[in-house]
Amino acid sequence: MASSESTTTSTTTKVLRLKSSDNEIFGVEEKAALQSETIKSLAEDGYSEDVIPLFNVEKKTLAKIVEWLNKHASGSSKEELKRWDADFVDVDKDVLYDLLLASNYLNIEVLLHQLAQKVADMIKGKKPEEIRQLFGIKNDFTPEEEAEIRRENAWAFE
Amino acid sequence: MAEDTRRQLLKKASNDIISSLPNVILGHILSFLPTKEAVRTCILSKSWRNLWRSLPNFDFGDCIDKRFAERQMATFQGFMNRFFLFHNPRENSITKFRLRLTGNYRPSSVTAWISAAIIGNIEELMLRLYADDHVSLPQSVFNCEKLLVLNLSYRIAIDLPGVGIRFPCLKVLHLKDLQMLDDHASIETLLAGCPVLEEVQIELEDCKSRHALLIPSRSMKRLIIRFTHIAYYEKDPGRRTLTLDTPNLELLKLTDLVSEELKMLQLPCSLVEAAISVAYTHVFTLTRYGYADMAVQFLRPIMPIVKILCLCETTMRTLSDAVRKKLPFFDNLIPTFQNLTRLEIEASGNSLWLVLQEILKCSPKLEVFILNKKDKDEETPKWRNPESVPWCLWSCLKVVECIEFEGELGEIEMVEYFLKNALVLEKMAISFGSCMIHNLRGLVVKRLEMCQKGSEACRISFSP
Repeated sequence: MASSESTTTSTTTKVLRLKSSDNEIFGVEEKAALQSETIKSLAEDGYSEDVIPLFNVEKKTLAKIVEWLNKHASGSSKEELKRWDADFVDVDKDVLYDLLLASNYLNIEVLLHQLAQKVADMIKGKKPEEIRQLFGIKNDFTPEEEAEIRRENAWAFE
Repeated sequence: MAEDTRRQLLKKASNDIISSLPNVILGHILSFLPTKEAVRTCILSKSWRNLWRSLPNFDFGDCIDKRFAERQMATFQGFMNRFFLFHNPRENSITKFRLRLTGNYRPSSVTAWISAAIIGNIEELMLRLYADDHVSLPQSVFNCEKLLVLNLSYRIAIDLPGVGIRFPCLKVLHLKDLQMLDDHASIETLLAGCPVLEEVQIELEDCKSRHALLIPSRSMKRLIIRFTHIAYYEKDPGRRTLTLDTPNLELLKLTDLVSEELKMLQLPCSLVEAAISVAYTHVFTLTRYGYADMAVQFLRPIMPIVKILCLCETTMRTLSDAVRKKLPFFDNLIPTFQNLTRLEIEASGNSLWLVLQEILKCSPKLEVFILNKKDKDEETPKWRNPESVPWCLWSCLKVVECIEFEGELGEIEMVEYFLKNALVLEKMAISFGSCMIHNLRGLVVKRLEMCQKGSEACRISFSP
């Protein structure tokens, strides 16, 4: 409720303080922070006056997440947001991995969707060997097992 | 925490960043892939082998190539049987299931797949079965209380239970070329069991025995009907009727070349958009003007309501019959199209200018006019300036678009009329048809660019 009023009177904007697993504190406007269901329920549990501890997110990842939260609460146009998001998810696989885990933990559905979509796009149209190489997946099947699985799921490999 | 450490170690050890993600995230990623590609991830490694099985959405199709039909069918059938053998609806309930088949499988097998797929929490069911034999829709479909979307096409035999059909959540219903559609009673029975239905699409290429169809729904917002072909039998001349009882409709796309009587029982006051395609056919028991009169009576009540209207060639022909017969349709004193802001006409032939000018005369709020010359065979008649300039050209018409423009004299003169007389016009977009002769194009562009313009702000664009 407070967030909708704060758009008219900026003086009353409330700031939540988020603490990363490595003890860095980030101040985020409430309206932006509450896009995370996890932060929302922690704030409702009475953490809002204090620092909200996020044990599972390191500062470098939290900084990125905070950047995303702010942008998505800034009232940018749809097209602008679309461009910005495309840039945002265009990162190294390691960063992508950390962001996926963090957005899942923080329960930010829109961001989780964007990231999952990004990874899916990286997989799309590639042969299994290419996917393995891209993500460093070790093939732990014996050749016989692999042939067997291909046979079972032949429809998908046609 | 232990789980986290394990994951970190796994990540470091193998450099395999993706497999170490929790299954819930991996499932999320797979759900953005087409079903076939999601299944293919089974081959990546042991931890991926069965991941795809827990997805909530599946879209299975067989894509049979006639040359290899037998082998492909055997492969698909084997895959599907195995999928359902391992499928556990208590653990992984399917919410969205799509099945598109072109091969001739045993109908009972297909029914069994559908039965297995819909156990649990199915919300969206789409079946497109194109085979020689009809497949029976399992009766258990009628117990799927969470169903939101039901989309059935072609060879599906639907045996409706006599009483007690109830889809309490069903919002979207699409039915295409089903035997059931020939029986008006079953459509009505089905609709009666869907209290929150918002969108209905009914398509039937060949209307056989259907005579009177009534579509009653208080909740319906979008209705798309396509009855495109009339099967005429000497013994059964038929007099097909379509009656809508849908007071809350917002969108109506009606293509009915089959019914000779159209009725609307309650006025849909919230109707925003209508696309109408009706046509007189010589097999009707009505005369041509009798049909025009009927069509006008059907359309007249919705004309003052709609904001967006699309009329096709045959509808224009029917309306021109009405204009010629001076049927009480267009009314200057009380503008017939008093809410209309966007008009699209798909026509080119003789009926075009007559009806267009009548519509423009009584559309005081028109902002966008699109002329799409779909039927290239018909020659555009000579343009004649209306007696007086329609009000909307002075006050609000901002955009005119001509699609499939062929540079015939009638078209050019119409465009010039709009350029000269539309005082607030901002955009005149001409997109040339594919048959346009290159030399002619240059001449047309030159002539239109030279034309005197009533609105200084107007930009003319030509494409391609």
